[in-house]
Formats: sequence, structure tokens, C-alpha cells
Amino acid sequence: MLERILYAEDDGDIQQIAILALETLGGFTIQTCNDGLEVLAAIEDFAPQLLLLDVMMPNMDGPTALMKIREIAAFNKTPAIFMTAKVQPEEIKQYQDMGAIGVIAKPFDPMTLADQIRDVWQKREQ
Amino acid sequence: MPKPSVQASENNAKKAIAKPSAQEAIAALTKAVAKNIPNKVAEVRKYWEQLKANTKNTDNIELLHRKAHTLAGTMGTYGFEAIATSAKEIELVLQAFDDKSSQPFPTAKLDVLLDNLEEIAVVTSPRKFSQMSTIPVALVSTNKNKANSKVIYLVDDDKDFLNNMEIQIANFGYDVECFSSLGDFDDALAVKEPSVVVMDVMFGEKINGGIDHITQLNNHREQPLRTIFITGGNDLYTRLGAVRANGHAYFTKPLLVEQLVDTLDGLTHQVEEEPFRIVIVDDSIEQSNFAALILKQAGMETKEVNGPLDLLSVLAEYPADLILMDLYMPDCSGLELSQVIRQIDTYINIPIVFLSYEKDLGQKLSALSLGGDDFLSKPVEAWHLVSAITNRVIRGRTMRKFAETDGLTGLLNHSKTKERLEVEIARATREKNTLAFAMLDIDHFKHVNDTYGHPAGDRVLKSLANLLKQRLRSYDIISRYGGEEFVVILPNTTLDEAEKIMDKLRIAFSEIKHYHDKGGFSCQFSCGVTAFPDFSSGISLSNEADKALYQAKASGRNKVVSREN
Repeated sequence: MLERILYAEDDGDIQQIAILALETLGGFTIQTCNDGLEVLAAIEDFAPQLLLLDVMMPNMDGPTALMKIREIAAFNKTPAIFMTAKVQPEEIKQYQDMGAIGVIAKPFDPMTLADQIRDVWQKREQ
Repeated sequence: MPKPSVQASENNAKKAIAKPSAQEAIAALTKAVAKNIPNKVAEVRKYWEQLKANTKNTDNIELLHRKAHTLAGTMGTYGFEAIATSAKEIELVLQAFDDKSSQPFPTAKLDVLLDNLEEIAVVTSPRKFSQMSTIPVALVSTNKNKANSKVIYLVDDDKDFLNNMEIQIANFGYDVECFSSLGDFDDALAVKEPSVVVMDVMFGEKINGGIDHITQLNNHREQPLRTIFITGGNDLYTRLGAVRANGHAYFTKPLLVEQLVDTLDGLTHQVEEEPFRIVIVDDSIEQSNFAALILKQAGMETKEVNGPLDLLSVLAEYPADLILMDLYMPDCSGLELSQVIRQIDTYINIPIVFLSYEKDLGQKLSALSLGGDDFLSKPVEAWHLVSAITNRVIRGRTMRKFAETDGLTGLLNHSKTKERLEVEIARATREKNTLAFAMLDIDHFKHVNDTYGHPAGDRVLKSLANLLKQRLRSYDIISRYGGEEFVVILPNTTLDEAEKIMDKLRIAFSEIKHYHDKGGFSCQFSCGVTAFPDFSSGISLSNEADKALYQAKASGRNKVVSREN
């Protein structure tokens, strides 16, 4: 069962509502990072089951972080979901090619975010 | 390297307490974000000014790009869609520029977009999240921004003028506070921010004292005061000063209250436009999902129809603003379907936009000749889809408005009112509710036109329309029935209540001073009121209200008469 999610987003306001959506409403355990570099620093200790990464972040963006994570043997298969405001088919395809199991469009609906993630997670398991 | 934040354990501890109040938490977060909007917008402005000083600096471009992107994301997430869209536009302009750096920098365009962003940020309120309708708690408070939205500071050293204007502006539903000295005004400003300042240009001895004072205040403020300047003179130099002091409007005395109130309405009112309603017809669920996703992100409401033959039944129940249709579908093609739609009178005005891989010009033209309004080739870019649809919907809604409203007052016209009355009677019958119907007629209106001229008469009509719009509830139906006759339909209101409401309006209207070249005058109206279910049809309601109105006129005018069965 999905429990531990490592979540990266640079905007504090969006972090807050996502944490509310994922922890309070979704019941997940969340570790929050502000950019890709923090994700790399946190991943070994937290050992997430799923990565939830904003695409555009300062210092290191989501796609770059995912490529770096793939170089770490323990996490080279950890599923990842990207969050992005740009939903163009080519872009979605590009993320899928990078091994993302899903793309969640921003802005997201906080009331259904957790369900959306569970959906993607279950589809992958089937 | 910054240390990752350790929110996991903390949040876990809070979980048990937080769970039942998720909706309150969201509301609280939204509130906090709303409060911070001015700062966020000011920050974008700061980066823009920085960039404007040197548009060659790619770091500054990148900075502003990021700020705009983040603002769009945050605002979108919390449902402040108008701001999100506005910020997104800035982001798109910068993005487009990045790609072709041989072009001149779009300074003028960005200036306009920044102004636009600031304006929208002042009058915005968040949409409700889609799923929240299932939760019986009011979630998103919009009162925050509205709190002072009715407060007007009126500053003039002429006390008679102040007294007179205070009553008149207050009649339109504003909280007016008057100051005859700049010192008092400053003190009040420190305590409470008004929505708009109406400032006299000439203050005491100083010719441009009012303008100078506002300029000084604005120099120390993050957000300039929204100011309307009023003056006895009309020279370009003074006007220029007013513009430089960030004046939103400029009026010369004698002041036309209707004009001033129109401007105040524009500056303070949040005109809550209903979301665009788009029906998407596509046999492929994935395709329609994708289009729906894009349009929803732009704040539109969508309904997907995957079986083309279901379209008519959907249209019958869903008041669509636009139909977005795939050209090639099984069962029946988009072309055939658009012909069918166009043959039904009710749908003759609904814009139809085709979406297809079609590259052949001949096919496109025939699609348009058969009743389509536009043609978009797949794959369509999100912004293109949104902007094509937005333009069509706005035009469609404007056309509808012309057909249904009176040009002078913006109120519903006679035929639309009769239609609405039937709808409201049906609703009241269904919900076992009351409904009141009032017919108003301005007293001696011919005399007004003859004595003061038709422009003055038009202003009287407009001021009554404004007063009704301001004072009545958003779901009350207000119309100009013809000439100087107005009709008001008040759902869920009894005869007694309606009589009281109309009488208050009668008094308020009689207190409005109308101006013309030679001075001021005031007007009154007479009114007849009836109610459902006492009278049960549209015809009987209006006939009986007409009789009551006649009675009011016959017994001396300037009064409200109600009529029971």
C-alpha cells in the first residue's frame, strides 16, 4: 500500500494545500522539499515509495532531479509523478519516457489530489 | 545545500486533530493567500520595473518569468483564476520572447499586462473547488476582499458640497465618509483603507493641493490609492497632474452623480461573471478529456458528449455558451450535426468551433459554411484553444446581451422580462414559494424631458436603474419595461415585504439630485405591487400591478400601492 511520498514544490502556498490534501485528506506520510537538490538530499533517509515532483523549480527542476535519482541504485525504479501547469501531449509523452507513471495538471483540486495519486498508483500495479 | 524541511513528523502529529476540519483548513489557507495577494502582485511589479530598466538582462527576464509562473500556479491552485490567467499571460509573453530574441522586447505589452494584473488582483475572489459542493460548509470566504469595497472617502474643503454628495452617493449603497481637511483624511486613512478616494483637486489656497497630497501619499505606499479627482477647472495641465498621481478618473463640477457612481461601480464592484460553459463533442473519450482538462484549467465549465446523437438532449438541459466539436465521428459527422443544431431556433446563436486534423482548406470552408464559426487544427495548443474559445464566448454573450437588454440602462428588456417572469412563476410554484411583482413609473417624466432636455432625462433613467441594481439582490430581476416604466420581480418575497422594499427605494430615489446646465432637480416614482400566488399568472400579476400603479398615480403620485386578490 502506498504510504510514503516525497514531494517537491518550490511555492510555499502550494506546498501547504498539497500537504493538507495528501496528509489530512489522503492519509499519506509526506516529506516536503523545496527543490530538486533537497530531494536528492532527503531521499535516502526518507526512502519514499513514490516521488511527486513539480516540474519547474529553482536550483534543480523535477525532470533533472528524477534523472539524478535514477543514478542511485536503491531508487532507480521508484515511481514518479510530475506536476505541471503545462499539459501538452508532447510534454506528457516526454515525462512518460523518463519513467514517470503519471502527470498531474496544475492547478489541482485539493479535494481529489490524493485519489488522483492513488488511481495512478493502482493502474501501475495492475 | 539547504536542509530538507522536516514536516513529515509534525504533520503526522497534527493529523488526528486536523481531519474533521479539512474544509476549514482550506478556507483558512485560502484566506491567508488572499491576504497576501497584494504583496505577491507588488513583487511581480518590482521585478518588472527592474527588468524594464534593462531589458537585455536575461537574468531579470528569467526572474520575472519565474515570478509570474509561480503566481499563476499559486493563484490557480487556490482558485483565484482571474489572477492566475493574468499572470499566465505575462509568463507566455516572456516565454515567447525567450524563443525569438531577435525581436524587440515587448515592453508596451507587458506594461499593459502588469496593469491588468494589478486591476484584477483588487477585485478578485476565488472559485469554489469542484468537489466542495458535497461539503455542507461554506468553504471559501470572499468577504475578505469585499470588506472595505463599499467604503468611499470623499475629500473636499467645500462642506456644502460634501453634505450633498454624501447623501447622493450613499443612496447608491456606498458607505461614504467625508473629510473637509487633508489632516482628517490622513488620520482616517491610517485606521481604515477605503476602496476609492474621491479627491478635490483644488485644496485651500493651493491650486493642485489635492493632486500633490495624493502623489505624496502614493510615494510611501506599495499600492497607490485608487483615486477619482474632481475639479472646477478642466485644463490639460491639471488633468495631466491627475493622471500622474494615478487618478483613475477625472470629473468636473457640477458633478454628475450617475457618472461618478458608474465609475465607482467599475472600480469597486466585483462583477462575477459566470464561468464559460462549453460542450465538447468528440467520439474519443481521451480527446474530449484532454480538451476538457485544458478548458477547466482556464476556469471554464465543460460537459463532454461522446455519443454525437446525445448532443441534443444535453443541450436541452445545459445552457451551453459554445460547442466544441470533432469533425469526424461515427454515426454522424460534425458537419451534419452542426446543420441539425442550426435548424433549431433556440440554438441558432451558439457558437460552434470544429476541432480536427483537417488540413484541407476546402473541408474547412465547407465546415464554416454549414454553420461552424471557427476551425482549429489538431494538435491544438492549449493557449490557442483557450483564446479561440474565450473570444467566441465573449462575443456570443455580448450578442445575447444586446438582444436581451436595454441599451441605455443595461436592464433586461420587455420581452426577456416576460420570459423570466414565467420561469420564476414556474419555480415559485414548484418550490411552493411566494414572488412579488412591482411596476414603477417615474412621475412627470415628460416634464423632465421638456424642461431639462433628453440627456437629463436619460440620466434620470440611468440613475433609477443603478439604484435598483445596487439595492436589490443579485437574483432579483430588474427590467426597463418601456419608456420610463420599470419592472422588478422579487423571488421568495411576500407582498408586504415587497411593499416595504419598494417604498425604501422610492424614498432613496427621491433623494437623488439630478443635474443639468442650469442647476439641480429631483424626481419621484409611483409603484404598484402584486404577488404570487395571490395572482397566479404572469398576465394577471402584471395587469393587477398596472392597476395598482394607476391607483398610486391617481391618488397623488410618489407612493407605493399594493394590490391583493
